[in-house]
Amino acid sequence: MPLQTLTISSAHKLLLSKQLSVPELVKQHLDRIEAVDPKIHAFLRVQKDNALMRAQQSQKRYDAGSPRSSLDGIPMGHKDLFCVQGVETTAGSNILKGYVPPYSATTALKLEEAGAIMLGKLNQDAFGHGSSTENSDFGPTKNPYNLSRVPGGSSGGSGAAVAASEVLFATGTDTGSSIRLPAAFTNTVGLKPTYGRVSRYGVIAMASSLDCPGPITKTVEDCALVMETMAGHDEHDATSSTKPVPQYSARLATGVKNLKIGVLKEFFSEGLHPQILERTKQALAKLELLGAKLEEVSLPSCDYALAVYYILMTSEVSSNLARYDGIKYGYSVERQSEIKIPTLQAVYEESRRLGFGAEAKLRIMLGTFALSSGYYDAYYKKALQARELIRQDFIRAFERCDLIAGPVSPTPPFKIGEKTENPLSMYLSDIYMTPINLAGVPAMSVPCGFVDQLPVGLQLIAPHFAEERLLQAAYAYEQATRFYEQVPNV
Amino acid sequence: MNLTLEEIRKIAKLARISLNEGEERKMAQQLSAVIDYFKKLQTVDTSGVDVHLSEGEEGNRLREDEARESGNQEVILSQAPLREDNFIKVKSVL
Repeated sequence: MPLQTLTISSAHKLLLSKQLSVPELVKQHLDRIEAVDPKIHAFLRVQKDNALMRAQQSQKRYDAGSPRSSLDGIPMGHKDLFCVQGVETTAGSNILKGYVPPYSATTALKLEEAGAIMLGKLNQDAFGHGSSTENSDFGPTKNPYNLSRVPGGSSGGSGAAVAASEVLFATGTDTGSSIRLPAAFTNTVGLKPTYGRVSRYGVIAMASSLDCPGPITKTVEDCALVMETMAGHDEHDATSSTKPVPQYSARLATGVKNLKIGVLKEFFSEGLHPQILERTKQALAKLELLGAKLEEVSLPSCDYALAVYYILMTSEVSSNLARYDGIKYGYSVERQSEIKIPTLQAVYEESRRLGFGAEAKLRIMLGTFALSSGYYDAYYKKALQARELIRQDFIRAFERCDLIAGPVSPTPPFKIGEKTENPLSMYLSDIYMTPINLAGVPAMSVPCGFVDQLPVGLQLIAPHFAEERLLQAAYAYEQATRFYEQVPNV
Repeated sequence: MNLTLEEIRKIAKLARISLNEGEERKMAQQLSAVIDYFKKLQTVDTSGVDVHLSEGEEGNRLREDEARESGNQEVILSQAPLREDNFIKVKSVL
């Protein structure tokens, strides 16, 4: 079977029936990385030897008739925010170049225990700051569907690696768009879970009250398989939920008959690209044809959600990134014998000046401003209150409908370099996604067609902890449209 | 809002980042544009809204504050640029 049509579930079946071995599967993906990644730059580093060794161990489990799970032997990649013990983890930033974590993220451990095999670490906007992967300190990732376009961000390496069949799935994180946008831009499936559904432990923090780790996969079924492995309570993350995790993959084919889908008025506003509007309308019509009932809903608070998001996110960023100070790990001017640094204060200031990229500095400065004396009440506190209004708005909307649907991004994948000089124009890419993070509810991007051969995603949003319903609707839509079969020509 | 270079220097000092003059100018322009966008929020009526500080539905979870062996002291210390025995070394604080 050609690599590009393989999914987690089909590969697992081939492994079980001995038509494929794990070392073959892993080798094929490593070869694919070698062939296409110089063009795409999805990977920051590849762990070839380690992956091949683990492939042999996994094959032994299949030979003994006892693979650990459907993910056993499946090649994956981690966004470089995920700490993996003993493997350099940089968050896409120079300030963490050379940093080797002493422990692994809980999610990385869970996936490893399920038998999945990490092929390497994936590129991203540094610390998750961006919507295009252009803010990586190690160079941008290209969109496999068009190498002059961005793959979205911040988990752009994850989306691109899955789309280009370099791995069968990847992890990502979504603070304001960072799983859904790359999924939409690369014709892949991305799930941003409910806040607290997946442990954040060992995932380098961006904005702790918003960060949600989750999967990027080729299909909805694969998404369910990875999600049920990643989710669950973790004693190392006090905000992780103790609610039991459903076996999402077991009950996918329920259909959408009589499901009430709210069509969010505020997401069909003036900034929406006409052809994205058209694709979204077609997708909604398809859902209706499948038996769903559409109803217009309005969430007036979405209008100011992006402002709320950028105040709260940058405030938390300024606090979380205070730890990179040139003292404990990562880049430090103390390592540069040619730089003479007189004081402790100067060690901080110079290490941060030289270690952080432009976007991280801008966000630290914005957050420091919003939290500073004289501005705290007008910005930070006001934004916290407005966030509560947004959360209540969503809870009220879900009293009237089971799901909400709309576009993921207002535009198709944009050109590399198009938005880098104007941060605000880049921030506006996230306009339909940030309200979801503020409300803490789960949402997905599922492929819904193409505009000029560039992928478009449909966004589905569910109430808190209703991931199962989200996956069921996405599955019904995907099976009726099968856009995932249109793989890129790399 | 147009932030002055003076204000940018004050924020940079609080953020412990040194900026050269070119960076200060660019930062003033970019920060001002984003803060102008934040103004959108000032028209929102938030009177009487209680701030929801804990995202978790299950409230605060507490655990005993017990010392435990991490077993990776050396790995952690070895990442520091300067050390002496089992300490990370820094320039004098005072």
